[in-house]
Formats: sequence, C-alpha cells, structure tokens
Amino acid sequence: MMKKNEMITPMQLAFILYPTVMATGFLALPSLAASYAPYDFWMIGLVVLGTGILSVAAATSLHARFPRMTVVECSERILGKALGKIIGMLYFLNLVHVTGVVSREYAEFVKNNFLIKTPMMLVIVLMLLLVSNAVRGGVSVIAKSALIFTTCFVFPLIFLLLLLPDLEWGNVLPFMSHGIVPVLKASAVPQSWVSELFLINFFLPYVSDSKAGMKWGYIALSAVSVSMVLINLIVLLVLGLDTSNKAYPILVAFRYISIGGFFENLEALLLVMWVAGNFVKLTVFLYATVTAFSQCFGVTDFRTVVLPIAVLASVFSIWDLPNFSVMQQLLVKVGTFETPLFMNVIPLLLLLVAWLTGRKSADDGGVGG
Amino acid sequence: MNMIRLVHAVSAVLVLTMTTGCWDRDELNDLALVTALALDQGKNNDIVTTIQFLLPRSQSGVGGTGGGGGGGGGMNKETAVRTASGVNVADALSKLQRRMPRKLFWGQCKIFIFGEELAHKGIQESLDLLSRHPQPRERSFVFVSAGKASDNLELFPPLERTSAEALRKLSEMDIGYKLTLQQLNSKLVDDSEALAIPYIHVLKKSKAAAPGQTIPYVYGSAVMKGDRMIGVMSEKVTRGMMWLNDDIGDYTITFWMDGRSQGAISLRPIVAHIKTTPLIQGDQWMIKVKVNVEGDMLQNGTAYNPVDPQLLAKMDKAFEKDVRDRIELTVQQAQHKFNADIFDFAKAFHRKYPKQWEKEKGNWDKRFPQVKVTMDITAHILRSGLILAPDGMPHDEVIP
Repeated sequence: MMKKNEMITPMQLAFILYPTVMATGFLALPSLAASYAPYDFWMIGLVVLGTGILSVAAATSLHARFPRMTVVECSERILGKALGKIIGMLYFLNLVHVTGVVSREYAEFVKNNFLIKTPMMLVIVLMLLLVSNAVRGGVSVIAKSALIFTTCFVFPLIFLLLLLPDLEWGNVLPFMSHGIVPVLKASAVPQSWVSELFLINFFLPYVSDSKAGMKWGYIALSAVSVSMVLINLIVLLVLGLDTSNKAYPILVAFRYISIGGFFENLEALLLVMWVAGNFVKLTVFLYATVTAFSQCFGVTDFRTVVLPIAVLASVFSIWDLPNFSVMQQLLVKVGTFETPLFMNVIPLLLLLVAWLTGRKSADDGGVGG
Repeated sequence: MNMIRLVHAVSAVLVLTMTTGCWDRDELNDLALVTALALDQGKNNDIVTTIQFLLPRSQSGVGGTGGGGGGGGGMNKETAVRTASGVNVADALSKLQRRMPRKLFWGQCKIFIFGEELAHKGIQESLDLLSRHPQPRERSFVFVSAGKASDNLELFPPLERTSAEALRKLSEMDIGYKLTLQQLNSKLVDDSEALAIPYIHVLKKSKAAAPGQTIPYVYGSAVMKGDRMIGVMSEKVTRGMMWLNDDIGDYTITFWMDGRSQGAISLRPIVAHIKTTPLIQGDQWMIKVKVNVEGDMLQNGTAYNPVDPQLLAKMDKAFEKDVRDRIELTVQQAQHKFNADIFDFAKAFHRKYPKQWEKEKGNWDKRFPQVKVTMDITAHILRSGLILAPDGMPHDEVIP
C-alpha cells in the first residue's frame, strides 16, 4: 500500500478540492443553468451548498468512524467482504468512467477553440500521461502540484473584473418571476459536480489533523459557492439572455475583455486556467480511481496500476461519446444522477448501516487508528 | 532505476514538444490578415462575401507607386479586397479561400458590414457563422451599409492604414452610435425583437484626393425588426434613441433660442443622467423618462449674456425644449413610422412587471405604439467658457 508516512496539510486539501469541482464546472455551467433559469441562474451557487455540505459531512463522518480508511475500505467493514467488494468495484467503475469523461470535456474545449487541427486523442493522452506521472508520485506530489496549479487556476478569474464597464446590471431582473423551481432545476447538474467534494474522503487518511481537514473541506465548498455566484453573475451581466446559446459563455466573457484597445485577447488566460485546473481535477480523479482499484483488489503497490488505469480512462473518454452533444447529454441526463449516487447516496447509506449495526473500526481490533 | 529515468525523460520531452501546439501552428507568412468582412446579397439568393486584407509592408510600397494618382502625391495602398459568392457565408468564404494563396485569419477582423439589400432579407443566418466560428471576436463592430457593403472596403483612408481601422476608430471615439457583435446577438434574442444598427456611408472624397482616398463613416442607423431591416433613421433620430438608452458619450449639442429667431447655442461637454421607469396603470402602459442634463457653453450665437441669471434661465428652457423635441421625435418615429421597439421598452416592462408582460408578450406589436412616454427634463447650462458676453459684439448690442 501507500507509504503511510506521506502526509498532506489540511490547507492543501482545499487546494485539491477547489479545482476538482470548478475545473470543468465553470466553463459549461452558465449555459446549462441559463437554459432553465435565464435570469436567476446566478443563484445556483447558493443552492448547491446543500449537496456540498452533504458530501463533505458524509466523507468526514465516515472517516471519523473509520479512521485512516477510504470509503472502499470501510464499505467492506460495514457490509462484509462480498458486498463491500462489490461496492468498491462500483466505485472503481464510476471513478474511471468520470475520469474518462472529464478528460474528454477537457479535450473538447481545447480542440474546439484552440488546437483545431490536433487530433483530440493526442490532447487526451498527453494530459493523462502527465496526470499518471503525478499520481505515481503519491498524495504529497498531488497536493504540492495542486498548490501551484490551483493558484494558476484562480488567478485569471481576477481578470474578469475588467469587464466591470461592460456589465449590464439590469440583466438580473426580473428576479424569480417563475418562483424558485427553475433555479432548482438549473442546479441539478451543478449540484452533481459539487457532490464530487466527497473525494476528500480519499485524501483524509493522509491529513495530519482530520478536524482541520473537515474545516478546509468546508472552506473549499464556500470558495466553490462564491466563485460559482461570481462567474455566473458576470456572465449574466455581460451576455444576458444570450448566455444559454453559448457553448462556453465564460470564453466569450474573457474574449470580451478589452481595455484601451490593446489589453485584449485574454482567452489565452482561460486556456491556462483550463489546463491547470483540469490537471488537478484529473490527478484527483485518477488517484481516487487507482486507490479504489488497489484497495478493492488488494494491490500491494498502487503505482503498478496507474498507467493501465489511465489507459482505461482514455478508452472511457471516447467510448460511447461520438460527439459534443452526446457528451453534454451525458452530463445532464446521466451525470446528474450517477455522480450524486456515488458521492452522496451510497456514503450516506453506508453511514446509516454502520450506525444501525454499531460498527466501528475499533470493533475489529483497532486497525489503523 | 536508469530505465525509469529514461522513461521519465522521454515522456517529459514528448509532453513538452507536443504541448507547444505545433500541430496547429500558423506561420505569419502563411496567413492573410482579414481586417473587414462585407456581406452582400448576390444573384439567385447567393451571398457575396468580400474581405479586406492587409498587404505586408514590403508589398504595399510597390502598390503605392502604381496607385498614386491625383494631385496629392502617391497613395499607399495597404489593403486589397477579394470577393466570392456562395449559397451561404461559409460556402462563399471557402470559395474565397480558394482564390487566396494564404490562409484567412479572422483574429484581427473587427468590422462586419452587411449590405442594405441583405439586411432587408435578414441577417440571422449569416450572423450564425460569425458567432459560431471561434476566430471572429465578439467585440467586433457590426454595420449596415448604404448600398453595397463591399464598396466600403475598397477605400484607402488618408489617415489610417485601412478603411476598417478608420471605422473602428470612429466607433471607439464614443461620439456616435456603435454596436458590437455580442450586443447585436443579445438584442436579437431580447424581448423587444427590434434594434438599430449603425448605418454607414462612403464619405465623398475631397477634390485633391486620389480616387478611393476616403473613408466610410457612420451616419444614422438601420432599423431592424427581428433580423430584417425595415428602414433608415436619420442621424438626429438615432441621437434621440441614444438619449433614451442613456448612451450619450462625448457629444456636442446645438439648439436654437426661441425657434431660430435669436441664434443658436452649442454646449460641450454635456453630462446627462437618464432614467426610464415603466409604469402600468390599468390598461395604460407608460414609460416615464427622467432626464437630468448639464453642459458647458461652447458657442453662443445669440445676443444674450449668459451671466444674467434670468437670461440663463431662458437658455436653460430652450435647452430643455430641444432635448424634449429630440426624444419626442424619436419616440414618434419608432412607434408610428417603424413600430419597432428600438429602446427595449419591452425589457423594461418585463423586468418590472413580469406577470403582465407574460400576458402581453405576443401582443407587443400592438401594445408598443400605444405606450405613453412622459418626460421630466431638467437642463442646465453650468459654465460659459472663457468669455462672458458674446464675443466681438459691441456692448450696447448685448442684451444685458
């Protein structure tokens, strides 16, 4: 297994989690959401807080009950070996699938807007190669690279403030003219992304102070919520009703920045954000996938399976996804339910069973602890 | 261990070389920098596209010696145009590309011009390409041209490098009406479904200038209902629309005292605060316009001495009347001549009265001409400039 002396600080946890949700989310989010609530979609950043709290709470209470264990390990404790292995396998399948889809989302944007002639597979494979290298380094490498890349990811967002002269504040009106229902509908997809905060569970065993880890988990959640509101608001105030028709509204917002006629073409910054953010996101997902696999099947050194699983993920990135619109459909119609199932529902059910049966890791002779 | 290092080194080199994006490299020598695109209606429902592209510096000098006619010395032609037609814009552009030895590059293209005839037929289909293609910028300016759009491209401005650059700079000066591609897109899907696009003409060249040595300039606007042009608004009416939309920038206002009998007064700069408030009373839909405008005197053609508070008040009154007349004229034309809600009153009502709006949405064409516009205008002249009484006028002729 992993070197147990590897440790990450609770703050690094927040740096890992923030792009895990935001990296793909911020790009497609406004247009998906705007199609349901064209004037009110900026509010979904607040609505998703519910799912986020549920995810972080589930992850941290599972960890509190079974210290130094991931959800895959403790499902075996809670449900017994056979059922636990099945759950572990399901986690592996879900995570490898999501890793594939995320790398596809990453490559779609790059190919659509920047590297038009480059084969998409090359974009996917190169990223996954880099990501597998980072994952092989273990959690501390992931955490340290997240410190650098998450900063690269957040910094360009500041440039969106240069759009202040172009903001049309009236665009937020009419306020909730159709009640709260459209806003809730609009947050269906984003909340599934926010539920990915549950992946904190895979890193908690390496956090020196798990109380502080929980705190930083919630800090990451608040940062996600604030950035979602900010990004959606800026997009709404610049594009108005046209938001829902843009494949990447935030790209248009960045392209729209123009200060004094020479400070423009800032979409290159967006590409920096996109690559940096998705790198972190993919390392987190690939790491979780590899961990789920090796814990489920008792692999002694997880490094041996990193590359094969990355190859598997690259297969999932093209399998059954013939075009952009099918990918969007997958995110909306499948992702909305698939991700919260694994990130909210199963963990909560596990907690419930553990609570009913009174199982704790201490019952089995204080493993880990 | 050495094996692993080798693998690491190879993958690092691979990643580094591939991520430079060399697959998609574009050398400047292989690109034609498009500065403007003109779209016209062709025969058999075809679209005629005309592009203006930059000539590299070394080549433009050669063109200059040949192109110099007239009295004003040689003219430096820094641009050339090329035309092709097709069933739609994309088709026409692909045919155009076959007549260009270099790849068209749109990143610098900031001007899109629709010919009048095409604008009458509808611009939505052509607009689709401009927004869908990743290269054209959302902040480009959009115009409708009097006559053929392509005529605006084969001009060689004396001051700027290209006629496209001249148009862009004119628009960015913030004195006239301007519209970006993104604003056009947003307005097309907005509640009112009507808008105005800046209308450009070719400026008549001065006598000594070489043929084509002039620029296109914005004068008035094309009124669009949906994506179709239905008429032309004069510059004065367009200004009135800018007043109502609170879009007044750097701008000189000139008005007559007492209906032309006393001479004209000009003010600049003026600062205007305009607020429009929708109001529904029973079946009466109203827009209350509150204008608060101040300006400094630039020229005084009357015999009035602006130092005298009573005379100044009279001038303020004339100023106020002028602003009122401008807005009234525009509202009158929009409501009754065009029946096009270019002020986006529809959006204002939607924002304040979402429920009533939902009911009246389909009926807006009938409702809009009946919207009552009331005005509350306060206008003040703040300063008289460097002199007090009208310049060069004998003291006894100045009205005190």
